Amino acid sequence: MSEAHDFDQYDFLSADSSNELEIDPLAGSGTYTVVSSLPSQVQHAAEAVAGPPIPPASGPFATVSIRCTVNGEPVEVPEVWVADSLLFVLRDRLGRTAAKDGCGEGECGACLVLLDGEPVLGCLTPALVAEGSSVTTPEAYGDGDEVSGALAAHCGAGCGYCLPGIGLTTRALLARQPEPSEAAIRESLSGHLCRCLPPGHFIDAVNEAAQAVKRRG
Amino acid sequence: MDKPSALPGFLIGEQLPAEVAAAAPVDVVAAPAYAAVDPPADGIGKAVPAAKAAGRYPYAADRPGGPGMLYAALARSPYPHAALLNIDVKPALDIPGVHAVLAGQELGVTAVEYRGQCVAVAAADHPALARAALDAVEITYAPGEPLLDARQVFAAARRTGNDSRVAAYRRYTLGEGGDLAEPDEGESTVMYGYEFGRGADPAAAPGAVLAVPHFAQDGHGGLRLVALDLHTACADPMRDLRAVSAALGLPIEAIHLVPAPFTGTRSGDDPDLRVAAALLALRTGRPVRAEGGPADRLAGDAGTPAIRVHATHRVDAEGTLLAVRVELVVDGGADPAGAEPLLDELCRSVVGPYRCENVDIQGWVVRTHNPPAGPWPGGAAMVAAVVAEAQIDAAAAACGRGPLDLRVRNLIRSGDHLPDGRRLAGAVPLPELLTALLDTQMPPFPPGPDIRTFPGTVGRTGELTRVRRGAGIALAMVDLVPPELGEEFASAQVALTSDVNGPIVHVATSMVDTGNGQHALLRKMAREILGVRRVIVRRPANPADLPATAIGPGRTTWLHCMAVQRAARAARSQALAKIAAQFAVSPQLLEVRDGMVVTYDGTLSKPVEEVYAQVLRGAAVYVANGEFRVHGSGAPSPGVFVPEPGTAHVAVAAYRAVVDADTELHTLRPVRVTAAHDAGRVLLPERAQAAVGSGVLTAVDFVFNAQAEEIDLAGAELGGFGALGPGQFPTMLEQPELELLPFAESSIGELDSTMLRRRGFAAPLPLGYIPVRRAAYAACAAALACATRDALEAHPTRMPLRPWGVSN
Ligand code: FES
Ligand code: FES
Repeated sequence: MSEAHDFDQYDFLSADSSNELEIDPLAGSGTYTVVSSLPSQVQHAAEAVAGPPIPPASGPFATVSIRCTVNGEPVEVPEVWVADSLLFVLRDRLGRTAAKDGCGEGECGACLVLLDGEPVLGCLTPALVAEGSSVTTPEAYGDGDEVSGALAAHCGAGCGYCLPGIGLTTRALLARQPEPSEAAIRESLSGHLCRCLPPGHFIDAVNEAAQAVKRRG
Repeated sequence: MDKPSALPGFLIGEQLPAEVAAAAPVDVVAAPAYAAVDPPADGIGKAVPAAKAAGRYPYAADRPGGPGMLYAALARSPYPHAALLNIDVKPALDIPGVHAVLAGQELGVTAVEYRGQCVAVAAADHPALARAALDAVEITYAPGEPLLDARQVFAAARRTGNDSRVAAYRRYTLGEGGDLAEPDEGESTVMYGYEFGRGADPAAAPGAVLAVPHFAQDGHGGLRLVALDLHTACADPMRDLRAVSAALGLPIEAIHLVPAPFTGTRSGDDPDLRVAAALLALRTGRPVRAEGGPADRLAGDAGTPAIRVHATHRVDAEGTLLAVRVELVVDGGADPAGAEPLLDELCRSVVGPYRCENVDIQGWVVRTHNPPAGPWPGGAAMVAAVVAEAQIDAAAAACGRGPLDLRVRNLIRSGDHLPDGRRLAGAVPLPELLTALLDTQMPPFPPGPDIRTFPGTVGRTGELTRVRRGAGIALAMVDLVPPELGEEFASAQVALTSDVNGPIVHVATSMVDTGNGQHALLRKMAREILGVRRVIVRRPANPADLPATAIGPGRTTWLHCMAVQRAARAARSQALAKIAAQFAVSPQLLEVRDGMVVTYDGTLSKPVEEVYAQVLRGAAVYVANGEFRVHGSGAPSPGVFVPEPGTAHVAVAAYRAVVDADTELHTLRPVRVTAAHDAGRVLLPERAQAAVGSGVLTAVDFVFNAQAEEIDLAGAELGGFGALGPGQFPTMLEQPELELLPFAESSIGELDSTMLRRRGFAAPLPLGYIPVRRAAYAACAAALACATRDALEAHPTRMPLRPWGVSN
């Protein structure tokens, strides 16, 4: 019954793509030491999870500990299972639940977070790649900035599940393009599926946020 | 009533009180404290939208289960129909970190009745361990021959006369029935078969359920279950509680259902998830969270039946509708009872908002090995509208007239008869809506210059010369109180009192705020009636304190609003009686209007704050209970609303959709949807607008996103399979622009109903109630289908639309 299990998304963990997991110890703040045995542990665990059937009595899955900064705060998460997604670690281990688990398969954008400033889908990003990096979740912005304010004003009547992710994308868009056109707004938000509100609400919200950002200067 | 202080403590996600949890030593940030209260309910106010945007709004998946929480996973049958020969859970239980595995009998499953049925559940320290446990469970199936095609099942039943799989049958006839003998000179007949697939949100947030058991010492050294908290997205606690309690064999009182906000436009969580989380929590004595994945979404949530409709319409040379005959078959899946309301509504409304004197409609529900048919809110109205409008377009083409011409000529009016024999009562402002619609501008053609506005959007853009534009108009009519509706009721309590800051109103309601502003609506209602600005709405911790029945889709808000209205009025008359005594006027002369207490003759006119201050001195409280009951038919009795015998109340909407088609690259683009609605009476414009928006979104998804039916659960082939273009489903880039015209408000309030009756009209429903969302869903889907038909110059008969090149 492999359909019930989404190890598939960690396919790249198997043999020949291990270099994707190379971690630069100095990428984050230099104070951390690398967990030295990481690559072999990864390898080992990858075999354990990818080779069906999982030998039930083979003991606990391999775990590592991860150090990174989350919203500027250094954290160390011990015993992260090597196939855990970044989203799982953020939500279930660190209690940062603002990034949402929408589809778990890269379709909806609810889980968006920034990894070293780059938007990534938390559900498809292995937690291990955060080692030594800095992660930004929607919590970093609280509800103080223009973008959350505009989203709350225009999109509050929906369920709100998509809003934290859309907020991050909007901030990235406005940083790139201070006065985006309607088509640009639609395109940049097209990685987010909102099930409640038609695009008009979001276009209004982004325009309002753009104005507010401009006024602030 | 709940204590007022219960709410503010629970802005979850306000990060996270430190209290290191012994059972979860690996957590760096301490497990947040567990709390079992409703989320703050104010979807349209300020606080909740801000919490949503900041990611602090506590959906079920965000709620901390507390120390030792386990994760559940569900195993679903790969076979639609099978016997369970043998189940061995031992290997799964041997995996360290796996705490419980329940399968087969323990779940009440002895045989597989549908594909994706839950056959085993597991709870473990980590979600992946739970899934690994399920992989280790050894299940031996004896697959049988599945019956998956409702049409074949139906045909077989007809052939053999064995109707054991036919679960329900309805027939409505008017006049001569749909007599379609040889057409006379100049008459034309159009006959089409339509197919409706199982619609599914492409990536709706999966459900999440959190079950937290509470134990106490039983006095003999053991533990006794005190209560089970069940956090789940839920709009109707009574219905859901009953279902869970039956599945668990626990009394209703032992289960405390804590509603979580909705995610997306779902109608509640998958019952499988609820039962799995609850059973595992009881078995392990620990909190358990169950989250649905893609496989759960398909099996549990896409409970929407496939429907086949065969429709024959006859018109004369002028385009007047002479006769309509319809046969339809609904796939009820493994539990066809759930599809009966859908069958009823579909049969009653499949002719659409058109008058026709000779009608014959027959419908069947059959039982198959597909997942059980859920309620599919709005589904029947949507299917009916798509069929009715497609047939009118076809008939117009057949008699050589314009589609608009045919619609206007045959438009139904107040007083006309529906196929079920009821007379249409109240306002049916379709002509007004249609006029408003036709007054609007079409979007500019050709699209551009930005290629993102072309069909196919980025990267799939063809030449403008190959783009053809289609426009379609569709009308929809949605039934409000069906005749077979049994009694439903809701209750509320309203207390008018004061605190240091002046008068304040406490409303206790049985209605759940699902995060969409239901309580804001009640607040508005109480504010309007009592003239007091500060209103606090909440749901009692124990639902038994304010009884309510299960309420069908579309009527929940109405019933609860009415209950609050009645309670607020009763509280008001108590207060006014006191005021009248003080001012020595008759209480009948007093009323509250725009925050003032006034007499009809104007001799008294004072702000409520001032007047209430006098009558609310000390600890004075005016408390009243209110209740609203509705019944589909039967004798009216005091306190029960029953529509006048033989009358029907409907909501109407008129839509125009514009769709561009790239005839070379075979891509579609819905450009704009223009919507004109009768909203009865708009209490909260934001809410009404959001309801239209969500109806439109659902329609766009349904029409352009063929997905679930194509998917083989075992293969889990989950790519988009959309009609917009290869692999495309409607995202923010492809969604049409929505132009919403100002709401028509046809219900002029209860006060005028006597006058209306004298003039021979039926009164509008109390409160001017109209479920806007269902009408939007229906009219929008039909308009998009008509526009696509126009753009493709073809008559697609399958919804969701198949991508071009895939045969119809
Ligand atoms: S949860 Fe990651 S994209 Fe949907
Ligand atoms: S507001 Fe509900 S998904 Fe966007």
